[in-house]
Formats: sequence, structure tokens, C-alpha cells
Amino acid sequence: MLFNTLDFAIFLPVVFTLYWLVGRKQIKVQNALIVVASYVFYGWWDWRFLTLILFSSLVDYTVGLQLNNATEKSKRKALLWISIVANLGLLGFFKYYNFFIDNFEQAFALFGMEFRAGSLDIVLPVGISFYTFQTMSYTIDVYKKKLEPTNDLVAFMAYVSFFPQLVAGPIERASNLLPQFYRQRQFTFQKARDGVQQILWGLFKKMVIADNCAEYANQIFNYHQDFSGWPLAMGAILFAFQIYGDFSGYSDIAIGTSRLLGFNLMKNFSFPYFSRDIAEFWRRWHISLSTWFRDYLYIPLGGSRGGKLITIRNIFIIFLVSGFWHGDRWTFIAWGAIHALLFLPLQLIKRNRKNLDVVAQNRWLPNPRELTSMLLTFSLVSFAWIFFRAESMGQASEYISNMISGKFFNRSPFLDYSALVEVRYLVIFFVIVEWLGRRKEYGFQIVEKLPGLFRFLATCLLILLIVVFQAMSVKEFIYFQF
Amino acid sequence: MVRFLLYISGLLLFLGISSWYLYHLSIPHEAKILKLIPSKQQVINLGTSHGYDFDYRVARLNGRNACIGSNSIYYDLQVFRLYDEIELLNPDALVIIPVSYFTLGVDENRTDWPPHDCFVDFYYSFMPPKYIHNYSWQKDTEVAFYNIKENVKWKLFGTRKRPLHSRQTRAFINRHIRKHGKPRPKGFMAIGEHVAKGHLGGLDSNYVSMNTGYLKTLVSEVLASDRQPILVTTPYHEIYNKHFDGTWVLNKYYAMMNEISEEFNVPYLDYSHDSRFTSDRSLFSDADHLNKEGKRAFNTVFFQDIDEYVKKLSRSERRPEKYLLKK
Repeated sequence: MLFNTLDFAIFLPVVFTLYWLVGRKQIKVQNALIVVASYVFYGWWDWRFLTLILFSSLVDYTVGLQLNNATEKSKRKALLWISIVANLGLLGFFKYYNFFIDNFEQAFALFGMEFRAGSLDIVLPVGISFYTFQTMSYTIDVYKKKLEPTNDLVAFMAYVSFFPQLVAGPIERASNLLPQFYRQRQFTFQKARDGVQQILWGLFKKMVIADNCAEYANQIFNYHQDFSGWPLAMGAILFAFQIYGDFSGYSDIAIGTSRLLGFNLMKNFSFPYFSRDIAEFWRRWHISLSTWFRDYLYIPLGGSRGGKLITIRNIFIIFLVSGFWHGDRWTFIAWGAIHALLFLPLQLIKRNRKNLDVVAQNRWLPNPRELTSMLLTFSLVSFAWIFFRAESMGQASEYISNMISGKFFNRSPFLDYSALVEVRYLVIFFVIVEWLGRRKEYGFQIVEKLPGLFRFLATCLLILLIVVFQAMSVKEFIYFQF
Repeated sequence: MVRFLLYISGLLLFLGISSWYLYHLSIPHEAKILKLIPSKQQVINLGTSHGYDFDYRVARLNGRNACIGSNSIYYDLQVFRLYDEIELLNPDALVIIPVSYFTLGVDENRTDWPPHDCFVDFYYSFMPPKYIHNYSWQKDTEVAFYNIKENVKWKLFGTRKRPLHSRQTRAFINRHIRKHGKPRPKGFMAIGEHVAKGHLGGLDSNYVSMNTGYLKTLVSEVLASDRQPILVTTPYHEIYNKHFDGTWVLNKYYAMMNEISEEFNVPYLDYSHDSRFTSDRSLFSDADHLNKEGKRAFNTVFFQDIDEYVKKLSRSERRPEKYLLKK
């Protein structure tokens, strides 16, 4: 079920009530309830998907226990490979089988040979890219002896299937989330209220910003051949806000929901569009995935310690794999490659850790240099989003070609500019709130500074904005397709 | 926990009150009319946008135009039932049922317009659920929130609530270009041809028997309530008729109308090919709708033709002089 539907609006209060009233001080009951609720949540899409998550959970739980008992290095390695092969095998089959088959067929055709394996009609299970990575992080950490394996199957299943973050992250580390299932969760009013506020802010980002931007971004991308110049650039910018609102909105709802149940999830987005360079962008965008790749792929490959060639190789591997993780299209790989090319110079001249603080740390506004850096970084990121959004490399190149050819500043007869005015005001409001809250966990948390009644009224106003300005049709979260 | 529950209750209360207030900032016109009609109606017409051709001031009658563009015969039946239930009709009222060529071939839940521009959503705005085809509370909530959005935008930005089918919006023009590869044609004849082709092309013969059933049910229920149904086809310009003449649509259409007229012994007046109107371009705003002059001419003829039924209406309810059309 989607977070922004009535189904979830009914589901969450029921789970919340049962969790705190029935579960109360009994950890095991609460954990079991989370497992049941999570399986119901996940099975809402398709009950058949439950077998996959159950399989992944049981494999990694068993591997974790066996790793604890195994002392020989070869045996431990073999167990780790079982987990990796099982999880990546699931992911590879459901997500990439047809991609590889199609590309093999085309490659053979290039040499005049025929290769026919036949593509399959495979339904991609929702969230498979997320929970497989989450369970793998558990077994890898147990293998490296950074984490003690659990023998509490229910707690482990709750960790794997925890419904707020199951289908679109954050990809939680076992060392952060799993221990929370052993501890007594405390209900506090401040934490719960903060959770509600973050959920509402996430809904605003998704239903108001992302979905409204999507109306126009989809129009422009789907009919890009009818546009040229500025409208296409605007399409890329609108998509940038769409994907940020969509994905970070989901994360906010996930984190807020977890807070309601007494859990703390990791921050997944830290105002990435205020980044001053690409390196900072990648420290702020989809943090759970980028740190996962850093810890489990980049560093084991040698990171930046093996000389320039090794560093270049590793950076390209990370970004290409990151792109490929998003989907079985060459455009995602191209998107990753662009970011690798943008990131690499900073890494090589050792300026990738230049901007570690919050922009305009003790000031209201950025200085001209910071503003220029932010705008440039945002432009580069928006350019890369063209590849992310395009259906094919051909469409992406045609899009860019139309954007830069001909008259740049022109009004297209196909766009409803009057309705875009409304979207523009909403985006401006959104950016202002995010800017003011850039030192907080999420933008709307700035209302914490207000006295109680004003904070309540601000929350009411947010609800009203969601009701009034939500897009007319419900759109699925973009990252569900990954 | 108690404090948190109070907090949530406060938010929900705010949401409920503000939604109610914003929803009622501007309630749909039809809902208002249903609340504000001071007296019972002597005559009502149902139908699609072709129903707008009727004007009761010509005959000095207390009449209500209850048609809506792109309407279906299913909802004509529901509107009659609603009016009957809330006693908005005189016991001996006339019920004019304008039937259009395309009435047979449409589905009452069609969604060829974007969400919340579809005529079905209009009925969600004021009709009780029992009258709505495949009523769903989710859709009802969506429509309510859509109305709230439109009301707030109206208050904030001054944009009026969109008419149900606004052909002038950029969004409509764009959709047309996407669908047909070119903008909507201009000029009376070109638009007439375009509309006729569109109407004809959008019909599905699978719906004929279903809609015939609804029409028969409507006629029989009107008769059962001791009121007089009158079946009518309003005037169309010859450019519109040209595309329908000889097609399955018209063959089935006339077969149905004659069958119902005979079966229930109700009058059927067909002005679609009436030479007094059909070739006179000056009477039409477009190929299948009359303009002001056309309405005057048509209603003069129409009420003369149904004079025997008009005479039977109780005289005391007739509208006073001031409502007569000025010449």
C-alpha cells in the first residue's frame, strides 16, 4: 500500500494502537506485531512477494548463526557467499534477467550470430533492491565480526521487513536498527509529535511538490520532441524537484512513522540541492545507499588508497553500480557515469571533502560564491537527471539536443503556463522552508522553535496545504520501481 | 499517550472543520438549486447539453433545466428519481426527455475527460450515493477534496470553478493536439464535422440494449408517477446530421424511439431533421446546439406542438409576465 492513500491512513493507526496498547512493555509481542504488520503491508501489493522476503530473511538469519559457529576462514567465506549469491541472485533474476538477455541477443546480432533465450514476463517485487541490501549488510557485518549475530528470529524478521522502510529505504544497517528490536521502546509525546510532523512534511513533499511537478515533467519528457530550449530545461528542473520530493518525502514518512513506534532510522537526505559541489551532493543524497556502497564495495576494493588508477577504477565502479542498482536501462548507467565524471576531479585533487559544514552556517543567506556553487551543482545534477528520467539513450540525447538547439527562450503552445505559476509558488515556498530548516533533521522541524500553539497552528496549515494543493491523481513513489 | 491522542484529535478536528468550511465555500450549482427552488416545477427537462435548447419562459411555465453536458440516460433516470423523491415536481408535471443520437452508445461511467472533469464527478457533488452508478466512497472523498481545492483556488487566485467541459483551457487544447495530431478546427462547418465524427466514433454498440433498458425504465417510472413523459430530439444542423444519416447509430436510434413511443403510448417529437431549423445556420451556436434566436424559434414551435399537454397543467402555477422573453 502507498503511504499517501486511505489504506495506509487506516493501517497506521490500527498498528499504532495495537503496538502501544496491546504490546505495551512486551518487546517480543511488539516485535511479532511488527512482523505481522509488515507482512500485511508488503503483501498488500502481491502476497507472492512475501515468499521472497521470507526466503531472504531465513537465509541470512541462518547464515548469521552459522558464521558465529564457524571458525575456519574458508567456511566463513563460503557462508558469506551463500548469503550474497542468494540475495544478489534474487535481485539479479527479478530485476536484470531480461536486461541481460536482451543485450546478449543484441551483442550476438552485432557479430551476425543468433542468440535466443527468450525474455520472461517477470514482475519486479516492490522493494527488492532495498531489503536484499539490508540483509546483506547484516551478514557482511557478522562476517567481519562487527556485529554479533542474533538468535532471535522474530527480531531479525522484524528488522528485515520493518514496514516503514521496507520498500524504499532508508537501507538500514543492522548495527543501528537491529539492537532497537532488543530494547524496550519508550513512548514520548515529543518524539511522537515530531514523528507526526515529519510524516506530514513527507506527505507535503510527495503529494504537493513531487506530484505537481510530475504533471508537467511527464508532459515535457513524454512529448519532448514538441519542445525546444527553455521548456526542456524546465522539464529537467521539474523532474529534479519531483524525484527529490518523491524520494525524500518517502524517507520522511518512513522515519516519522518509525518514530511513532519508538524507533530511530538513519537520515537519508540532508538537503542535497543546497550542495556546493558534487561530492557534497553525494554526502547528502540517498545517504543510506551511498554509504552502503562506500562501506561494502568501495572500501573493500581499496577505496582511494591504491593510487590514482585504482581510485579512478573504484569510483567508476561505484557510480556505475549505483546507476545500475536503480534499474535495467543503459540510461541509469549513463547517469552513474556522468556523476563519476563530475566526482572524479574533486577526488583526484583532494577537494571532495571541502564542504563538510552546512552552507551559510551562521548566516541567513548564502554569499555570492556559495550561491553560485549551489546553482552550478544543481544545474549539473539536473542535467544528469535527464538520463535518469529518459526511457532510452536515444530519448535522452534527443532531449538534450532539442534543449540546446534553436531558440532557447521561447514559449511552447503545449504548456499550461498559468497552472505552472501555482507550481512555481509551491516550489518557492518549499525551498524557503527547506533552506530555513537546513540544519535540522527535516525542513519543517523549524517549527520546533515556535511556542506550542503556533507550532500546532503551523502543523494545521501544513495539513491544509496538503489538502488544497495535492495533485489530482495519486502517483506511485518513483523509487518503488527500484 | 493521552496528550498525543489529544494532539491527533486536535489535528483531525481542524482538518474536518476546515474541509467542511472550504467545501461549502461554493457548493455545486445543482446542489444549490435543489435547496433553493421555492416551488414545485411544472416541467423539467433532462438530457445532455442538447437539453439547454429548452426555455420555459416562452410558455410562461415554472420549469427546470436539469440537463448536463455529455450526460447518460442512466443519470437522467437518477435525476428524475431524485426530483421525485424530494418532491420538486408537480403531481402532473411534464418530464421532457431529450434523447441525443449518441445516448444509446455511451457508458455512464466513461472517463474520456480527465479525473474530476468527468460528468460523473458532478453527480458525486450533490447526488445521494444510492443514485450513483458504482458508488465508491474513495471517489466521493476525491471529488470532495477536488471541490475544496477548486474553492480555495477561486478564493485565492480568483479563478472560477472550471465549467465541466472547458474547451478553452490550454490543457484541453493540448489534449486535443496530442490525441488528434492537430489543434481543434475552427469555423462552424469544420467544427460541426469534427464534433459529429467525434460523437459517432466514440459510440459502442455494446451499450445499446443497456441504455434502451434505462430509457424504458425512465419512461415507465414517469408514467407510474402520473406525470407525462415527452420524448424529444432537438434540432441539429444538417452538417451534423450528414455524419449520422445511414449509420447503425441512427438506425438503432429511431428503432428504439419508435418502439418506446408505441410501447408506452408517449409522444416522440423529432426536430433533428426539421427543415425549419436544420438548414438555417443563423439559429445554431454550433452544429448541434441552438443559439438564442434558435431557442426562441424552437421553443415557440415546441410548446405549440405540445400544447395539449401544457393545457392540462394547473394554471395557478404558471409564471408571471415578467419572465416572458423580450422581443
